[in-house]
This record gives sequence, structure tokens and C-alpha cells, in this order.
Amino acid sequence: MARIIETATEPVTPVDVDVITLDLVENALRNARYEMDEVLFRTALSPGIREQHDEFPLIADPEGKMVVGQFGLSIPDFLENYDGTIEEGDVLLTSDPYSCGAAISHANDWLVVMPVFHSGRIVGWASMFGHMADVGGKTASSMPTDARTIFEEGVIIPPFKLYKKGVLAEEALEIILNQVRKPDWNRADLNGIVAACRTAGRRIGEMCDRFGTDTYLSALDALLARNYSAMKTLLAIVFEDGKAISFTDYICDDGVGFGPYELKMTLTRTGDKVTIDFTGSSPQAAGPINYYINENLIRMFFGIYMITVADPQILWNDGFYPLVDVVIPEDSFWKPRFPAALSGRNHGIGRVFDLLGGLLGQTNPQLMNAAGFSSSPHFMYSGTYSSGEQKGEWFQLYSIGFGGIPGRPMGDGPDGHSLWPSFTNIPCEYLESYYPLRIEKWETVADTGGSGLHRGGNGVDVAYRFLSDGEIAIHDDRWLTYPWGVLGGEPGARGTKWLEHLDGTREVLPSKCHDVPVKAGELLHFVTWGGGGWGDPLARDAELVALEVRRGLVSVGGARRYGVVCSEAGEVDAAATEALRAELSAGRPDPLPIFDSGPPMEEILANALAETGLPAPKPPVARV
Amino acid sequence: MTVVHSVDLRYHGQGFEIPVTVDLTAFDGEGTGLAVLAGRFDTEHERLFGFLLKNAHEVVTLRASATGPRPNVGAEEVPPGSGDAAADLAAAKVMDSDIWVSGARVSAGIYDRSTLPAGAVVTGPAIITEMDSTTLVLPDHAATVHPSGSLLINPVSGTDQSQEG
Repeated sequence: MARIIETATEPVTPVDVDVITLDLVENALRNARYEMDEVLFRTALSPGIREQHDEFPLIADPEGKMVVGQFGLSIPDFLENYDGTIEEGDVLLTSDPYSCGAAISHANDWLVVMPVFHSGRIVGWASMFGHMADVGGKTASSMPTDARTIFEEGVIIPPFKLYKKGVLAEEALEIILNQVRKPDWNRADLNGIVAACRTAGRRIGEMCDRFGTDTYLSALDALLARNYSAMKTLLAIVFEDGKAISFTDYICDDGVGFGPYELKMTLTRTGDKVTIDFTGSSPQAAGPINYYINENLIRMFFGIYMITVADPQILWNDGFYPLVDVVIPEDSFWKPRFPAALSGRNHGIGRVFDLLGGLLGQTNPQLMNAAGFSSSPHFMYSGTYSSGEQKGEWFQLYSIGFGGIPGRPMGDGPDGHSLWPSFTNIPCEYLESYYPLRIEKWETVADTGGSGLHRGGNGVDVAYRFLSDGEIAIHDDRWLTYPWGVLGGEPGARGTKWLEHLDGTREVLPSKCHDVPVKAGELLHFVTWGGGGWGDPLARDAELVALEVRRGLVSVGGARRYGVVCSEAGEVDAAATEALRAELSAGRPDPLPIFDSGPPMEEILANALAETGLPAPKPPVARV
Repeated sequence: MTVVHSVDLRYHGQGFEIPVTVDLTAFDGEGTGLAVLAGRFDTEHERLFGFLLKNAHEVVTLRASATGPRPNVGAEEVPPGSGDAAADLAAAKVMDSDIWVSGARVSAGIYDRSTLPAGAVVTGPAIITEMDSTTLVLPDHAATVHPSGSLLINPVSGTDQSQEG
């Protein structure tokens, strides 16, 4: 447990905070959190952070409770596991999930934690982690898809003082940067993260000066209390007392030939509190897909789902944590034993949102989403320029792919978007300026979104033409299991990747692979999956379906899944549509199933090779 | 008319530039001008973000800005009332409507903001409408139209409530 050294010892007096001051503090905090983002974007060098914004800021109260931030890290878990003193001017850094109670979940994420002092007293924490494009290890970008231990995944930084009382630990930093392939990126990105945390610290100090420390800290308590009472009310409305609800989804494979991994979440409300239980999930994976998660992060994910659905404007924070108990079994996919490999945990993170959607939607249609683009598929490309003025120079790309957002109660899922709302696409112009790449296609693939009253978003086909020899790596999923539809909506299409070789032959690539050699002139099709559909497709406005045919989002054949008959020009044949809808309607179960995950698992596995070009994985085995 | 020359600079690989002004006389053909630019960029980077990098400096934009003297413009003012405050208010009133406040229905006047004169006082509960916004004046509050057009909403004296404006 960390020991905080404060020079001021007199206690803080709780005071009443009027609503205007509370509003000012709330919005100043929100602003400070976005300012943290901006400082980092403006100084970062790696495309993952500079262009795609793969970073997560947070401002916490003196106990480490998040008062504003994006989800994804936990200061209390970090402090619980840090054995040392922390004082003014210290800035801590770690990348070791196993040394910080899973405050972060793989070694690519560098987590900076900074205490914020005001007049000798701790008044909060500023923290941020960013995904470093490379942290060393056996493959470029440091996420080997066949890793069995974290030691294959690059430099693992234990929690230490990057700055001690304001003085940089230069030698330690140089030792760390000597392990990575693009040290100038890591140096700039890390400096940006520290600068962002210091910016937040400055803003907190200004608020303490302006309103008084007592008022500022009392305002934080009020903001936390607001989430507590909102959540308490929500839980009672949404969940029946004593009734356990459960949902299971899958990760298709673990990169080393085992799968699918079963992820199970059960929720029970008992009085004011709910328990979220992961018992029944698969044992820890042999490959690197384990998502080592701690109880607080589960609370955080659950909370953002609940609170933002109820009130998207509220400053969402940790105040409700006492209302949620979490059970995560040891040696499971969610709590693997050291030194299990962790780098491919992005599918698990994404699937948490599908699990929550499938779970919470059972009790309340307002919370019911179809399966979404529940991952951040990675595409990596590295090598040395084989020609041109940069010949011999090392290049390395880490990028995050986009896909179909699920059909939702509020409407269609967007086509070609990120799971993470604040992530943005790397512009093709950027890729073509900084890498030996030509992007020949970045287009939505018709019919890949599940049909429904609200259509699932389409996946995308990004076609990368390589202009230099090199090696690529891919992290993706949902190549085997389907992104399910809900309330009558159909599943979205699965993802696929293939290389077009120079001799014209096609090679289907596994959804998780690395160190795949590519030659200048070869083409990679990186096709992501579509979102599941929401609601009865036969109830969708036929004219809207026809409009989407005209826009190339749905094909003429695909329109028939909505019972719509139309021409290539997108003109509806009303009589034929009515007849087809009547025919389809007669052949369906009544009521429509709540979930449609496609064919049964045995059938999916039996047809894997024929349908996907890839062999079915072997059933996972428990670690012995 | 004055002309200022500036350059947008960044470290190679960054996605954001910092503008710095150029001293044209420093460009002596021996590299002094570029060194001055790099120095100014570093000073600003250090001030904004608290650190420097060893990466090369990259020039993204060259700019000349011409500035002339301010033209003779002033802020528009809302015209004052007729002297008969009650008549002014009545003229600006669109209708009365029931609104839901603190768990109860109350009758509120709805006013057209564009016809309220400076100095008019709208006592809550009331709604003030305009083309692109709506202002709610809660009970026990009053909105005063400032000559600039702003609505200054304050609790009516004798109450201790407050409201966002």
C-alpha cells in the first residue's frame, strides 16, 4: 500500500456547495479532462495516439476515485499494490498489469499516475495511459499472437518514480527506451502523457485557489454522491430483486489454435446492491487473449453502460462503486495467473460491452443492443523501405480497424466506426505520407450489417497495397462466431482477411497472426465484421431499404432479407414486397427470438474450414 | 497597415504546429534565421508542454499576416422601453402555458425575446423564446434585459435560490 506524505496535517472541513459552484467545478473538471487529451494529441508522435487517440485520461479525488475520465484504469488498485512513499513532485510510471492489480491490462499501455498537491495536502490524482506503438519483445508492435508468457511481450516496467520530487529518473528512462524499436515515439508520447497529467494538476490547483480546498473537495464528494444515488435508483428500476440473469458470448480463438472461449456474466440484484459474477467463463487461455481485469474496472464498465444510458449528460464517475460487488474466478480468462500472456486482450475488452448489452437488455429493451463491433482489431506493418529516398529506413505502423456498430433502440448502427466512441480513423493521407502503403479501398461492405428494424452497421474492407517488403500482424476476432442480432434482428457478417499474392493467388490469413512476410506489390484485404441487427427486419420501411440499395449499403439480394423486392436502381416493387414479407413472416417462429447468434456452435465449427478458409480451433483446456 | 511574418513549426512526426514569428533580418544566409526559429519554437513548446524533444524541426506553413487599423464599429444595443413597463411586457408576451416545476404545474408566461426592451424584467415562472434558444426563468427568479441583450437572471430578493442563466 502506498504511503502518501503530506506536509499539511489539519483536517479538511466538509462544506455545503451551492449548485452554481458545483456546476462550475463539474464543467471545469470535464474541461480539464479534455485538455489532457489535447495536450497529448499535440505532442505525440505515434499514429496510434496522435491520430487514433488510443489513450485514457482520468482525474481522481484524494482517495483515487475517478471523478471524471474515460474508463480503463484504476488508481486505487495501483496504490494498493505500490509499496513505497508518494510525495509532491513524484510522477509514477508502470506497464506491468501484474504489479498494479490490473490497473492496466497489457504491457503496451504505459500508465502514468501523478499525485496532485495543494498547500502541502493531496487534493487528487491525475492519471493517463497510452498505448505505446512498440514496447520491444519478439515482434514489431510487441503483441505476438502466439505468446504464452508476458515475457515475450516486451519491456515490463514495474511501478516506479519516473520523477522523484520533480527530478527525472533519466537513467531508468534510457534503459527502458533502449528496449523498444521506436524510442523517439515512446519518449514523445510519454512526455505528452506526463504533460497532460501536469496540466490537470494545474487546473485542480487553480480550482482550489479559486473556490478553496474545502469547497473543491466537498464538490467532488457531491459529484460522487450524485452517481451513487442515480445508480441506486437505476438498479431498482432495471433489475428484479433476487433474480439472476446471465449471458454468454465468445472469443473465437486464442492465437495458438484453441477456442472458442466462453465468456459468461451473471448479474443478481439483492436489495440495493448487484453482484456481477464471471463464474462459468473459460479457464485462462494458452495464447495472449486473456483479459486480466480487476473488480473496479468491471464496476466502471457496468457503470458507464448504466449511467450513460440513463443520463448521457451527467459527469459519470466512481461514486456508485459500493453498490456493485464483483466475483472473478482465479485462473480464468479474466484473472489469469502470472506470467500468462496478455497482449491480445483487446477482444476481451470489447466483448465486455456485448456481454453487458446481452445481459442488461434482457430486463429492459431500452438497454438492448445487438452485438457490436466489440474489438479494436489491429493491423501492423513494419520493415525497412526497400526503395526510394528512405531506402534502408525502418518503418512501423500500429493501427486500429473499424467495423459495424450494432443496431440499437435509438436507430441503425453506424457503418465503419470504432468500438471506442472517441477513437478516430487514421486518414489514408497520413498512411500514404508516412508509410510505403497505398490504400486502394476504404469502403463499407454491403449486407455485412445484420438486418433488422434498425440495421447493424456494415463492416469495412480496407485494401492495403504494400509498396515495400515487410511483415504484417493482425489481431482480430469474430471470424468464427457471429455478431448476434436481437429482438428479431439477424446477425452481422463475420470478418475475414486475405492476401493477394503477386502471382494472383489468394491466401486467407488467420484472424490473429504476426511476422507474416509481405512483398512490395501484394495486397491485403482487411475486412471487418458487421454489427448485429435490432428488431424485426420485415418491419423496416421498404423505401429506406431501397434508399440503402441506391447508396450501396445493401444489395438487391440483401434487401430480400428485409422482405423487400427492388430493382438494381433501388425502386421498390410494392406488390412483390408485400408478398415476400407475407411469405417470410409465415415461416418464422412467433414470437421472434430475443437473440439470434446464427447456427448452433457445433455447426459453426463443422463448417469453419469450408466457410472461412480457416480450420476450426481446438476446445480450450484448463491450465494444469 | 503592418505585416507580420510567421512560421508554423513542429517536431518531425507531430500532428500539431506552433506558430512563431519570424525575424526576417536574422536570415543572413548562414543559418541564423532557422536557428532563431527553432529556438523560438523550443521556448514555446517548453512553455506549453513542459518538455523538449531531440527530433528535427519541421516547417509546415509560412505566413504573412497584414493588419489594418480597426474600422469604426460598435456593439449593437437593445432599444430601451417605452416607459410603461407593464405595456412593454404585455406586448412581448406570446401566451401563457402550464409548465412542470418541482413536481407541480404552474402557469408561466411565454415571451418573445426579440421584442423585450432593455430594462424589462420578466418574473418567473416564465419562458423566454427566440429563434435558436429557450430560457427558463424559474419561480422566485427574475430576468432583467441588459442593454447588451443579455438576460441577467437573479433570485428575487427574499429568497435564497439560484439558477443557471
